[in-house]
Amino acid sequence: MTKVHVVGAGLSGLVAAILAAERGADVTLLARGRGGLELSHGCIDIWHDGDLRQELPSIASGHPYRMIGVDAIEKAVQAFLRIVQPSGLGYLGEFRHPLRLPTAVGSLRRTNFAPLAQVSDDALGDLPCLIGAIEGFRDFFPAMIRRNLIENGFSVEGIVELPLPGHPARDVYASDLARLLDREEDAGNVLNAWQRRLAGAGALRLLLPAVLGLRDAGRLHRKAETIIGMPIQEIPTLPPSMPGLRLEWVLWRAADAAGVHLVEGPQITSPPDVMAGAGRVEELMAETAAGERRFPADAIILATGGILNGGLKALQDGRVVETVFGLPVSGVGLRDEWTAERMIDRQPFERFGVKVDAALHPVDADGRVLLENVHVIGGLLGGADRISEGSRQGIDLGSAYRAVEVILG
Amino acid sequence: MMTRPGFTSDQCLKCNICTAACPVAAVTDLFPGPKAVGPQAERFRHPELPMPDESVSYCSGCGTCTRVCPHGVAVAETNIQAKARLVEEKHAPLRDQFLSRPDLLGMFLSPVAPLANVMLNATSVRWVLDKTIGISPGAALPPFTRVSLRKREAARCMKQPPDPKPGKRRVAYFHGCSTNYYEPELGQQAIAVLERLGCQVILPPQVCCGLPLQSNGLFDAAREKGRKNVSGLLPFAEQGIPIVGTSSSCMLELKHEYHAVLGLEGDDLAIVSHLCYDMFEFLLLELNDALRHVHLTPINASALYHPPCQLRNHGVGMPALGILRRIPGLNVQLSDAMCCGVAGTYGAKSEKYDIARAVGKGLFDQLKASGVDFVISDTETCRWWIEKHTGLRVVHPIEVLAGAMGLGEFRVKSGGY
Repeated sequence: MTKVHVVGAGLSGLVAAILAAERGADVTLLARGRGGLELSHGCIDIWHDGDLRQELPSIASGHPYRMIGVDAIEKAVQAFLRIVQPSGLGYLGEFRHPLRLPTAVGSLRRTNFAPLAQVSDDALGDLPCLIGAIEGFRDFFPAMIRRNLIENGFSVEGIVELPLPGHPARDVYASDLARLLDREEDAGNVLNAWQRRLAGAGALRLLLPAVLGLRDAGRLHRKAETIIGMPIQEIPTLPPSMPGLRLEWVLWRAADAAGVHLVEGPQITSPPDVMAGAGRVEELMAETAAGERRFPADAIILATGGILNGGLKALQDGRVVETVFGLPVSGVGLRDEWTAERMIDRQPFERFGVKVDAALHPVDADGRVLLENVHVIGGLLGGADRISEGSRQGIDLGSAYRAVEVILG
Repeated sequence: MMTRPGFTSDQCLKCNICTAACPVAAVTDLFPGPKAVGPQAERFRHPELPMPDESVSYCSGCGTCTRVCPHGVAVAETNIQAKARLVEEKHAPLRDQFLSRPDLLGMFLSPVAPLANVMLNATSVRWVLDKTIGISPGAALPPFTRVSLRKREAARCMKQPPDPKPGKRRVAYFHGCSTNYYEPELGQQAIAVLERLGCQVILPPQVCCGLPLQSNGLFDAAREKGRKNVSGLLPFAEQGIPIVGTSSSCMLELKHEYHAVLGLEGDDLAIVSHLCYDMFEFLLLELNDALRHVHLTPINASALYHPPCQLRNHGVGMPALGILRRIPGLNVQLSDAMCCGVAGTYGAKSEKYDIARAVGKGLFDQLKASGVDFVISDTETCRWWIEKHTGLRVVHPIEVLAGAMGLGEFRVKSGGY
């Protein structure tokens, strides 16, 4: 039985672990801290600008998509949709035409697949919006959303204050609201209060912060629409993001069902001098509560993420290091050139990462394979500008699928 | 030098991932959440001024926050130290002093076990304990046993490691107070499993690990336990003998908390803590080959495995789950709950009891819906608490494994919903 260790439990690592376990490998998923998914909008961005199949030849040769190939990306998305299907979250979308969805500040973002609760039904897409401001919930900005949506050509009827029976006597987080609504009785009270508040409002679409439940959110969304009598569209909020948490939960359960051993907590490091050795990694070191423990492995999938997720670390002296094996990081120029002038500009640091070959092995500047049983996936892959391209989850899923295909045939 | 947990607060990005994961903040307004009472409040705690706020006392100490933090903030460690400062300022109530000393209770009450057990289960006595010192009538107080594990296994109790028997691997068994005074059969089964897998099992000198004292903010007394254990275990660790325990909370105390929370230092501690293993971690890492060659007889039943928070905080995953799933006929499902609620002595306290029950509700509901025959969990306080609130039989994974290995009779069912 092939022993596969996946390091990192964001979207890419979790999906790689599930797919590898489904193909019969003995899979251990090692993760230090949560993050990737908990800060995510829960959608699948593949390519913002048209059909990836047609665009691919014009994408720069160092881009991860050129290594993964469009077939693997399509198959990966199919596999993802199959894995999340039983959850009832109802992912909708198309590989070729992105959806346009409102953000937490009322701008529009493009994504290829989104949970049903975030997608307004096309047949009702022309309905004017009503923005719901939930009592006591400060991490949502209805006035700003309204102004920006109008600027983007949306018809916005107004903002409605929604009462919150059972309001906690302290700051309310999105997770508090989601959990409150997960409780059958509280959900009934809250939704009925909203129904009374909205009675007679007319044919409108209700925009709400994404707080409609955690554990069975698909069902709760349908229930809320039925009770209130309006289509409801959720907007992901400030972190922690409920759509991301819902997806993480679904993937954890799928990983357990597939037989993945989940090890949460330890920092993973490499055996000493692995980069100077035989070009293989025989075991990983895990910094557990009792200090270092060794985990022998046949193959390793490195899914630790990019510079915002712990896979890369920027040092004071201007170097950027890969945190597990010390793999070379490409795209890092002078310290002064890491960031763009404005925060919302394309950021050069977004492109930092590890270079790989078509089997996703890490390679050096000359393209030589560095570690033959290590495969790099997800945010750690360099050469992509995930935000402006809208390619983050496409890279995550496509590379996860490709790595498993390479390791297990 | 140890990094003071409070200093890691500077790494906090306020992402609230810990707040979303916290089982206590999820059910009560009284606790503002780990980020708020941890890295955020730490800025307002001057070393020489009184503590400005007491809401940290509602932290159950489950440690989930530290485990989920993506930025290395020692949230739980910061919070337990803040709790200890509150205790220093206000002094621990008699109740906490009492709950913190399972070793003394065991020593004095074991010899009179039948009487003590009747007394502690009497409604009137529980009413008085609730009204006078604040031990909840719903708290699970396990029955004492008359003959402790150390008395039963006196021949194995040694201060120095014996010479190894030919072909055997020496293992020092850290049983903890609960196995010694309440559940000696569990300890005997653990010994039997280790022996069947080729080990020579010794009971080294040991006292209470100190976790109950630490959780109740009684750090000086906890450090004293820590020093005693380190010196008792050192002769074994110096010969490279692994120290294996069946209580995942005691083992976390030895592995990690002595240093990270109580601030104990030194090479002796480092040698001892690195050789500490949770029982199933040890089976998986060190005895897996032997275990794979052992015949496991079927247990035709369904069970739910609930990994205790303390076990999760070992950073070794859920080693028992994979091993239990090898037993033919046994269908083991994983708990969906982050925590059972009791968190050691937290759920025993009258003012915390309702919170602890609310935390556990998710698990109790899952158990009710699943219709499993029994429950499996690695820490004693979780087991007693889940049993008290569901009526289901709750066992340590070693009891199930010992049953499958033919080393003891394993009863599948008793009572339940």
